[in-house]
Formats: sequence, C-alpha cells, structure tokens
Amino acid sequence: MKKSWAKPQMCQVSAGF
Amino acid sequence: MTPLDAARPLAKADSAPRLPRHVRLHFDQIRGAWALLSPEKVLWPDEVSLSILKLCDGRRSIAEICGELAIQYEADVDEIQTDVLAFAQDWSDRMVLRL
Repeated sequence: MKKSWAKPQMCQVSAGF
Repeated sequence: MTPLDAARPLAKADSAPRLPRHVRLHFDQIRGAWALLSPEKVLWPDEVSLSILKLCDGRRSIAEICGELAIQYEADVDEIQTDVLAFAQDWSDRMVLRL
C-alpha cells in the first residue's frame, strides 16, 4: 500500500495518567 | 532575546537529531503501537512521526532524513522538510529530541 505524506502528529499523555 | 532563547537549539537542515538518553521508542504489544517513552510522559507518534523518529540516529542530517522520506512517501522534499523542521523544533522544545 502506498504511504502518503501528512504533517507528523504526536499525541501526548502524561505518564501519571 | 532572553538568555533562554539564546540557549534554545534551533532545527536546521544540517542538524543531526537523535533521541536523548532518557527517551526511547518502545513497541507496546497490547496496543500494537509504538510509544515514545520519557520519564514524565508518553507520546504516541503517528505513522509519519514514527518514520521520522526511526531515522533520527544522530548521524543523518534533517536534509538527509527528508531525502529518504521523499523517496519512501513519493512526496515533494521541500514540503517534507518544512514539516520535519517544524516538528523537530517542537519535539526539541519538549525535550524528546536532541538537535
């Protein structure tokens, strides 16, 4: 499957949670 | 400019980013997803972020990383470099990437 470029995203969750 | 700004590393095309010693990529078997673990937070990168992080070995420059990604994604290298520089800066500011 061809990968398509998109703005990179990172979801952050605090370790405590 | 504050002294803090002067000390702030800036993402440039010749920066060679790498993960700091206290941060590591870990495959979470339960979720079937890669997590970026640091002492005080967990980050869940999407597929594109993960592709970038896996190339951040401290040897490749951002320009070289973008060249490889342009081949992988068959996308415009300038568009990729704009996105990668912005996010490398963001991740560096959050101390999960060392420039």
